[in-house]
Amino acid sequence: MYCLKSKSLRQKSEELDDETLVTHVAAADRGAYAVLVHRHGLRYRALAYRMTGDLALAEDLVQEAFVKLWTHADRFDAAKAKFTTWFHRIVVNRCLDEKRKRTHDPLPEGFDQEDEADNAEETMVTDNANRALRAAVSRLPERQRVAVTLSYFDGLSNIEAADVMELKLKAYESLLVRARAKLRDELENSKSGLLAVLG
Amino acid sequence: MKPMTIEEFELARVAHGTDMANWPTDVADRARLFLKTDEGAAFAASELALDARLAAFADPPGTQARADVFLGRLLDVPVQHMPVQQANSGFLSALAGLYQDFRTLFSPLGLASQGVAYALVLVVGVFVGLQQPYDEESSVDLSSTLFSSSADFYLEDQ
Repeated sequence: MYCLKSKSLRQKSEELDDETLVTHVAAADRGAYAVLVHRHGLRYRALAYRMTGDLALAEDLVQEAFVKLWTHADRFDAAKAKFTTWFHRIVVNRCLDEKRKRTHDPLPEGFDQEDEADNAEETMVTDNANRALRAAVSRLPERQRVAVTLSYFDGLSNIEAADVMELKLKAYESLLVRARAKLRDELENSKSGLLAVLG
Repeated sequence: MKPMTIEEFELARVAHGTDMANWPTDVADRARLFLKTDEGAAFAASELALDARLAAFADPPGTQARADVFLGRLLDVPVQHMPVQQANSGFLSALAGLYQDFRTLFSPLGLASQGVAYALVLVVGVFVGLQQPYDEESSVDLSSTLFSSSADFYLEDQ
């Protein structure tokens, strides 16, 4: 009975926008909460992973953010920001706090795992490219790293990303330009370094 | 028309996107001039390469099963945590509320509002009292039976 009830509620909730769903969550509506989890859970997991480079940690941080959503949904003010902007801020700030706590960056999860897939060679090339890019991104100053993550990996528009970082649009775009320039230099340097090593 | 600098070109790409068809006409015209130079062509190639690398950045590692487990963890959150509004409805929170009331009661604002309320009640009371007509017939002078003078004793002796 409970399942049927919650299923029909969920179907109804799926038609609602994020902001309305959060007001339902504030009234302890589990169906609305479940829709938000299904709609955004993996997206924020990917965002946190790209910011921390550690999947297990990313999952823990996003879970903390969803706990906050469930327990403090009444703090969300739809008049001030979109749900995604508000929640991005929660996840990004939590990731930055965690990064600051840690004195060193651990190697990405699965760094030394053997790949037994048929297309292992292709996967290895992709992994190497990803690793180089992730390393270059991780060497960016904190705010530039967040800007690159929001714009290029999370697909936010400049206006949305500026809103998340609480910056004016022009300031955000300048930040992104500096980040791109540094990223290009980093990738160029790592490529030249690799070529020098290979002789 | 003066061609763009590298910095201007990059800022334009960030501001207006990678498709120059969406750029303002004057900005796009200056960008095209810039791209015709050797420096511009080389820079555009490096920009495209960077965009391609950023676009190809893979999703987090891990299987779909792991992703499902993660979503399951998120869905379990309501079972393990209580919304703050509900958590605050217990006996302890009621006590905390009383404590909060007590503190509010003796705050400067609390004392001031109590003073105002007291004065208001006093004024209303006096006003209501003034509205009552004085009825002389119904009044009784009790003092006439309570007090006596020494002259009364002398009269009884006689």
